[in-house]
Amino acid sequence: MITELSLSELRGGLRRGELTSAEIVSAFRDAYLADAKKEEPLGAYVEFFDDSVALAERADEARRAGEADAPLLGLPIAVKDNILVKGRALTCASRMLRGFTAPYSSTVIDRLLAAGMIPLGRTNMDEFAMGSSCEYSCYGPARNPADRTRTPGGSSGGSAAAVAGGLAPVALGSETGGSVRLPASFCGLYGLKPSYGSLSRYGLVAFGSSLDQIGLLGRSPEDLAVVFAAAAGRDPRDETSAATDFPAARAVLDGAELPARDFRGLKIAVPREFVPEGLEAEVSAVFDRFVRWARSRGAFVEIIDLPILEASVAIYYILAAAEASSNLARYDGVRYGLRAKEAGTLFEMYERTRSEGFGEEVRRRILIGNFVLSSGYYDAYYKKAQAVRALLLREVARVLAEHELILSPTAPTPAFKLGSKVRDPLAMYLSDVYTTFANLALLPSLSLPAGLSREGLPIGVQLTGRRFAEETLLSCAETWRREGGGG
Amino acid sequence: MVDDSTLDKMLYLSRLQVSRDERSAIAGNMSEIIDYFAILSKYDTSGVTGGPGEAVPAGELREDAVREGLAQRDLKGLSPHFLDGYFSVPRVLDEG
Amino acid sequence: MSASSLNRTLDGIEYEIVVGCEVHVQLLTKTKAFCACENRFGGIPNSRVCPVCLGLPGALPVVSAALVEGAIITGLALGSRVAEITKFDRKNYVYPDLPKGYQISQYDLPICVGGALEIAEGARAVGITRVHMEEDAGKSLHLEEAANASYVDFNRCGTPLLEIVSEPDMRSPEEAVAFVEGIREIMRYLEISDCNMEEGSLRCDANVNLRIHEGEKLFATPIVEIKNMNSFRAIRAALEFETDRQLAEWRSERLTLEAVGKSTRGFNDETGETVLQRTKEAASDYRYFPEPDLRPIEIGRELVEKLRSRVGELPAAKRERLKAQYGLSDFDAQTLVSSKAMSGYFEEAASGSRDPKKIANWILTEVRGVLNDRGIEITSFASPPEHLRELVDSIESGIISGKIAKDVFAEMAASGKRPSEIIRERGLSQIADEGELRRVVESVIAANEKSVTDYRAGRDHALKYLMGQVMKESRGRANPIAAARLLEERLNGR
Ligand SMILES: [Mg+2]
Ligand SMILES: [Zn+2]
Repeated sequence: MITELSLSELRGGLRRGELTSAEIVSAFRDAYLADAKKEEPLGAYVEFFDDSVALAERADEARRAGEADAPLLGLPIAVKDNILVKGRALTCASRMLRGFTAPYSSTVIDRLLAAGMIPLGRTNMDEFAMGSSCEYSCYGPARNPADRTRTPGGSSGGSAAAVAGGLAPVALGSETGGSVRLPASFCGLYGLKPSYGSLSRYGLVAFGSSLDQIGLLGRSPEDLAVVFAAAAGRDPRDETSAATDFPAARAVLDGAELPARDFRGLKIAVPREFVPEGLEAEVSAVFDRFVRWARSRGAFVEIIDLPILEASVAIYYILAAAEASSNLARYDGVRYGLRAKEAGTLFEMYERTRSEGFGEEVRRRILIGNFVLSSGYYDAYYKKAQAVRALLLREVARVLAEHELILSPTAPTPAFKLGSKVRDPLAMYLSDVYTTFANLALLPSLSLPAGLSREGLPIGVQLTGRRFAEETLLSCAETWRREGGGG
Repeated sequence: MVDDSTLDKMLYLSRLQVSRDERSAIAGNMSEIIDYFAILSKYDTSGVTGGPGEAVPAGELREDAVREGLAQRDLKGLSPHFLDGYFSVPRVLDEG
Repeated sequence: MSASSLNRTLDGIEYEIVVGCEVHVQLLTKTKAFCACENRFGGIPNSRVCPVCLGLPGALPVVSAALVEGAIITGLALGSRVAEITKFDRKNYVYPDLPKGYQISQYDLPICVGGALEIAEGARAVGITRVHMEEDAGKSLHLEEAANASYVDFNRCGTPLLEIVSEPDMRSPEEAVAFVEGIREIMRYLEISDCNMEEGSLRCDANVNLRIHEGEKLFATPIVEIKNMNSFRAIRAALEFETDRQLAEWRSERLTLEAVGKSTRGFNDETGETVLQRTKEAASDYRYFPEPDLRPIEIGRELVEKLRSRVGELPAAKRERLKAQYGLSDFDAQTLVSSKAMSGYFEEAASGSRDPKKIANWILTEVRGVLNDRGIEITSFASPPEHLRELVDSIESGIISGKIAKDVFAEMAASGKRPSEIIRERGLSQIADEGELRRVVESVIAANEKSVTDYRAGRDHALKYLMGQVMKESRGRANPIAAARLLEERLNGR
C-alpha cells in the first residue's frame, strides 16, 4: 500500500515509472479523509491542502516532459504549523494567529519546494510549540496511531501522528527541547533534531531562539537523510546558520544508498543520570536490549557520570521561557493576527488580545520568562542558567571528545494517556528530561524506534553526536534498521 | 514565592490579564516551577561566563545592498486594520 | 553670564548645572540595520518594510556591515576604544511602533567605550561614556479628526542608529548645545549622518540636575531626563527652563537625588516648559538579554586601522590648518569643512594654484550655487577640482576676464569640459593685441559720432558708453585695461 511505503520507496517507484505523484498524493489524501471520519480521528492535520493533488499532477507532467531534474520531484511532505509556506495559512495552533496567511516562505520550505516536494498540509502541534503532548492546541489534541487514547507526544505531535498513521511519508517538525524526538519515540518513528545551525531558522516561528531547530520525522534513516540534505546549508537570512557540508547525505539525495555504520570500535557513552534506578521497567528493558545489540556489533558502551545533565530541564525551561517571553511580545494585535474587539485603549487592546489569543501554557511560559528576566531575579535565574548552560556545554564536549555518541532512552515512559498531565505542568516538563541537553549543547540527536512495550506502545532510544555529525547518527540508525530494527 | 505584587508585575510586563479565580492557581504553578529551578544552585558557576555563540568576523557581515521588501498588497492581507497605508491602533498616549 | 564660570549664584543660592547628553544619530547607510530594506527618510507610508522590520512571525535579523563600520568610524573620531568583541542585546518594551516588542540594542558590550569631544564653548573636553548601535522604531501619527486612533508607519523602523552617551560634563545650556553641535559637525564631516534635527536624524535627550553648594555642604537635586528637544534652540530653552524649575523646587522643597531618584520630562516647544512624563519607579523594566538571533561580532584590528585612515584629520584640526595654510577666514574654513568631500575638493583645487583664496571663493559661491540648484553633492559635481584650478588660473594670467569666467564655469558645470577647451572652442581668450584692439576702437568711434562729440564737450559718461561699445564689439574679449587706454588716447586726439 502506498501509504505504508517509505519516502525512498516512493521515490524509487516514481523513478521507475511504477507510480505517479498524483497516485501517491491521492493515496495520502484519501487516508486523511478516511481517518477524519473515524470516531477518534488522529487530528494530525489542522489543514490538508486542497490543491496538493493538482500540484502532484503538475509534477507528473514535468516528469513526463523530461524536466525531472529536481531530486524530490512530486514527493509529498507534511509541514508543522509553525513553518511558513508562502500563501498558506499559519497559526502555530493558536487562536492568536487565526486568519494569518504567510506572506513569505521559510528557507527550508523554499529549498524543499525547489527540490520538487509537495506540501500535503499543516500538522497539529502544541500552541507555539510549547508542550510535550500536543494537547495545548487550539484545535484539540492529536492522537497516537498506536493507541488513540494516548498522546503522540509533543510539540510536533501532528507530524508524528501523520507519518505513523500513514497520512504522510515524512514530515517537518520543530524542536526547542525534544519536540521531534519525543513524538518519534512515542509513535515508533525515526526523528532527527539537527545540530543548531544545520537548518536555517528563517521562517520557523521563534520559541526559544538559541535552541530552536527544524527537525524531521520519517520511517527510515534514509528518508531523513534525503530531506535533510535538500534543506541543509548556510542561509544568509539566518546569522546562526552554519556553512557545513554533508556529503554523505547529499549523495543519498543524489541517489546513493545511505551507508550503514560499522559498530566495531564505536565508543558510546551512557550517562548514568539517564538510566536511573527507578527507570520504568519496559523502557529499561528496551534500552538494555539496544545496548546488548550495540555491544554485539562491536561497540564499546561505557556508563559514565555526567551530573550536570540533572540541571538540563531547569536550564532549558528558564532560557526557553525567557526567550519566548520576548519572541512572543510581537503578538500584540497591531499588525496581524487576533485583535480583541472593543478595546478602548491601547493598553486594553494589548492585554485583551494576548489574554484571549494565548492559551494557558503559553501564558504561563511568558509569565515565567518575564519573571526570570526581570530586575531582582535576573541574576539568580536567567544569568545563572546561562552560566550552567556554558558549564553543560563544556562537560558534554568533554564526553564527546572521548566518545563518538551519547546514548540514552529518548523518554522516561512510553506514550502517556491524553489528559493525564495537562493539569500538572511540571510533570509535563519532565517528559523532556533526556532530550533537552542536546538542544542546550547545540548537538544533533536522533530518536530511533527501539522496541515495543507489552501493550504494543513504541519505545525509542536516542543517539546524540558531535556537532554537525548528523551523518554519523543517520548511518548508525541505518545499521540498526537493517540488523535489529523493527524486532 | 510568587506573591500578589510579583504576579501583578509579571502580568503587566507580559501584557496579560487573569481573572480573580485564576490568580492563585497561576501563582501556585509558577511557584512550583520556579522552586524546581533551585536545582541550579548546586552548580558552581563562579568564573563561568557567557552562553554559546561563536563570533562572526565583522568582514563577513551583510553587504549594504537594498532588496525589495513587502508590497502594500501583502500588508493589506495581514490585517483588516491596515487602512490607507497605515496600521491603525487605539490612540497612543504617553505610555503604552 | 560667562559659560566658563562653573558656579552661579541666584538669590543667595550657589549652584552648578550638571548636564549629560544621549544623542541618537541615524546613519546614512543604504539599507536598514537588520534587513535589506532601503534606509531613507519619508516617502509613502509602509512602503519600505519587510518581514524582518515588520516583526512578522519567523523573520530573523541580519546585521549590516555598514552599521558596524559607521559605529567604528564614529568611535575613532571621538577617541573611543573600539571593542574587539561586541554583541547585541534585546531591550524589551511595548509600544505600537516597536513591532517585535523589543529593540535590538547593545547593553554590556557596546562597540565603543570612552573618548572625548572638544567643544569651543568654555574650551573644554566633554567625556564620551560609550557609543552603541541600535535600531530605530516606526512612527505613530495622530490626526485631529480621529481622536480615538493613531496610525503607525514602519518605514523608519529598523533604521540604523548610534546612541552616543556623554559623561555629565557640561555645566551650562550653552555647553550642551556646543556638544551636540560638535557631534553634528563630526558626523556630517565624516558623512556618517546628515544630522537633520527636523527630520529626526539627530535626536538628543539630556540628563540634568543641579549641585547646590551650601557652605561646605553639597546637595544634588533629582536628575531629570528631558526628552523631545527637536532643535538647538529647544535644547537651550529646555535646559534653561529646567534649571530655573529645579532651583525653585530646591528652594521650596529641598528634594535631593538620593531621596527622589530620576524622572523623565518632555519638552513642550510651544510653551517652552518641561512636563513630567514618568518617575523612575513606574519606568519600564527592560529585561535586557543577549540577542540570540545574532552572533557576537569580532572586530579585527586591520578593519579598525583601515577605518582609522578613512577618518583622517578631524574637522576642528582641519579648520585651523586651512586658516593657517591658505589664509582663509573663519567662515570660509567652517563652510569648506562642512564635509570631508567638500574640503577634499578644495584642497585638491588649491594645491598648485596661484590663489587658493580665490579658489575658496569660487567654491563657496559658484560651486555651492550649482550644488544647491541641482540638489547634488560635491561628489557628483561635473567638474573635477583641477578644472576649477585651471579656470581660476586663467583669470589670474589674464587669459579671460572674471566676467567671461562665469560663462565658462556655467558650461564646465553643465558639460564637465575643461575650461581651456571651452575657451578655445568658443574663442573666448582675451584680445590683448594692440593692432586688433585699435581696429575695434576705430570702428566704435566711427559708428558713434554723437558720443565722441559729447565726450569732447566734457560729458564723462560718454566714455563709459563708448567703452561698453568696445566690449560689445569684441564680444567681451577685449582686454579692458588695454582697450580703455587705446580708446582714451584716440579720443584725446593723439
Ligand atoms: Mg537608545
Ligand atoms: Zn525590512
